[in-house]
Amino acid sequence: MIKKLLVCVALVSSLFAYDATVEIVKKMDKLPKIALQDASSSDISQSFRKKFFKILVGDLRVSSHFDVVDEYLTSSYDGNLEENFLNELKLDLILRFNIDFEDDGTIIAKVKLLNAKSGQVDTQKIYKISKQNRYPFLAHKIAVELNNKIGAPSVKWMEQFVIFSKYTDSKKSEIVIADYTLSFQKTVVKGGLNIFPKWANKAQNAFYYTSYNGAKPTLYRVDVRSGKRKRMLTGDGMLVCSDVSSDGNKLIVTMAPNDQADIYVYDINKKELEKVTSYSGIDVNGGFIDNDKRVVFVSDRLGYPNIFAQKIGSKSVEQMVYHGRNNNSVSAFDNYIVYSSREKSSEFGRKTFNLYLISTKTDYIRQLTATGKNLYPRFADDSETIMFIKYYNNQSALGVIRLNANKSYHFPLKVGKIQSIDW
Amino acid sequence: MKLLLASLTLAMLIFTGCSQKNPDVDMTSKDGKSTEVSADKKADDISGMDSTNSTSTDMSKGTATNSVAKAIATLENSVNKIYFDFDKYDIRPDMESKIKENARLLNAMNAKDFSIKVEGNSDEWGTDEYNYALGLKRAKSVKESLISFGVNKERIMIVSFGESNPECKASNKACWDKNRRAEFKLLP
Repeated sequence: MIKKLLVCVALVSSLFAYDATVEIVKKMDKLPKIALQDASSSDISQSFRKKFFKILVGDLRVSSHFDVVDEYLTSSYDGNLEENFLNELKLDLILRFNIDFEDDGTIIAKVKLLNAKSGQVDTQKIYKISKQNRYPFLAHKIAVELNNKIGAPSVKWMEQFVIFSKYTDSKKSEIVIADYTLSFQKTVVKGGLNIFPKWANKAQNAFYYTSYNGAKPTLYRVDVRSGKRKRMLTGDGMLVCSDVSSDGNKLIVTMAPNDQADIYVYDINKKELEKVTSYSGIDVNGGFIDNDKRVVFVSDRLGYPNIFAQKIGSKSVEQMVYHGRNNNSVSAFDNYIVYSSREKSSEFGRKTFNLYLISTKTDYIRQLTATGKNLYPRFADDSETIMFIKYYNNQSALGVIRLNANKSYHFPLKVGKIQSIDW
Repeated sequence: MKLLLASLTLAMLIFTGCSQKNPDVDMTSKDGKSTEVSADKKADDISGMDSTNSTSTDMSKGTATNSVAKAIATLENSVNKIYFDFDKYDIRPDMESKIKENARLLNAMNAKDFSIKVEGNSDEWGTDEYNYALGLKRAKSVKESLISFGVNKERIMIVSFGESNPECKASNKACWDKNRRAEFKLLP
C-alpha cells in the first residue's frame, strides 16, 4: 500500500514539473473542490469572522490548487448529515473553522477538514496566534498546511512578511511590514525619505534600507524586534541595497562614490566593498545568481535599459535579454529571469510596462501581464511565484503571479504609492 | 474523462493516505484529539521608529543664519531648473543657455562662497531604482556642464531623488515634462 502511495506522489509531482516559460500548463486535470464553513460562536463579531473567512478563501484561491466555493457558509462545529456533505455543491473537501479568543487576546482557530464524499472528519487541528491584528497570518498558516496536506507544491511564501516603502508626499516615504495581502500592516520607519527596504536574512528579523535624512544617503540595518538601527554604508549621490546573499553575509549595492552609479558587493563581516561593474552609463538593480557567484543587473550600455549578467571578479558582461527596448527591472531564480519591459518607445503608449519571463536554457519568452504598469518583479523562494508592483487606475497594488496556474492577483494599497518591495 | 477521474482519485488517495509521511504538517489525529500549531512568526514583536530622530543634518536643509538663508533663498529662486527628455540624461540644446546663465549667477560675488547641490529627478515612469540612477546621471550632466562654464568643481555635489520629488503631481505629459529635471540648492 505504501509503495502505491509513493507512486501516487511521484506521479502527481511529475505533473508539477514544467517549463515556466511555456504558457499553457496543464497541471492537474481537476482541482479538489472545497467549501469553507464558519462554525464560530455568535459571540464572536460577524465582521471579524467574515474578514477571516475572506482571507482564508483568498489564500486557497491564490494557491491555485483548489476549486474554491466563494459563498460564506456557516455550520455547527460538530456538523450533521447535511453540513458534512453539502451535496448540492458536489464537494471533495470541507474546511470548517471555529474562531475564539483567549483572555490575553490570543486567537484560537479550531479547524476540521472533512472528506465531503464520506462525510468523515479527516483531520482536525488547533491554530493559535498571540496578537489579534496578526489574524491574516493565522489564515495563511492554515492555507499553507492544507495545501501541503493535499500534496500540492508548497505555498509557504504566504507566511512570509512583505516589506515595502510607500511614498506619502514629496521626499517623504514610510517603510511598512505587511502580509502578502496587505491585510496586516505595521509601519516600521517613518519620518523623511526612507527607501529600498530589503530583508537582511531568511528569518526576516532584520532589514536594510536607505535613509535620505542625513547629510548623505545612508544604508542602515534595522533589527525588527528592537527597532535599533546600525549604519552600514554612506555614499554620495545614491545608495541602494539591491540584494542580499543567501547566507546574509554579502550585499549587492548600487552606489556612486565618484558620481557614477555602479554595482558593488559589500562584505558585511570584512566591511569591504568590491566593485563589480564599471561603465560610464547606468548600472543598477543587481541580483545574485549562480550560487551568489554572478550578478544579474540592469544597464543602459546598449543605449537603452536592458538585462545583463557578470561574474563577480570578471570584466566579461553577458547580455541576458534580447527582447524589448526598455527593460528596467530584473529578478532571477535558478534559470529563470523575470523583467519589466516598456512596450512603446514613448510614454504615451496604451500599453505601458509588462512583465516577461525567460529561461536561460530555452529561447521562450512568456508575457506575464497585460494591463497597467507592472514593475519591480521579485521571485519568492521558489520559481513559481512572483511578487511585483502594479499601478492601475492611479492606484498602486502588490501583485502576485502564480506561474504554474497562469494567474495573477492584486492587493491594492489604500493610501500612498508603493516605491519598492521585498519578501 | 478517464484521466480526470484518475487524477482526482490520485489526489484523494494522497489526501487520505500520505499525511503521516510528513509529520511536520500532519493534521491527522488518530485518537480524535487535535494538535496545536502556533502561527506566531519569529519576528513576533515589530518595533517602529521615527527616522527623523537622527543627529545628522537633513540633506534638504542647511544650517544658516537668517541673512544667509535669505540670500540662499533669493539665489535658489533665480537659478533655472534644467529639464530633460524622456529617459535621457544628456543636456538638451535649449537647456545649455540656461546652465550658462546659472553658472554666471553661481559665480557672482553674492553666491561664490556657497556650495552647490544639484538634485536630479525623474518622472514616475519606470522602476524607481532605475529612476534614482537616471536622476543621478542628470545631476552629473548638469554638474559637468556647470564646470565647463567655469564653476569650481569642488563646490558642486550631486544627489538623486528619483521620482520621490515631483514638481507636478498630476499624471499627464505636461507634468512629466516638469518632473524630469535638475534643481539647485545652495549650502553655506
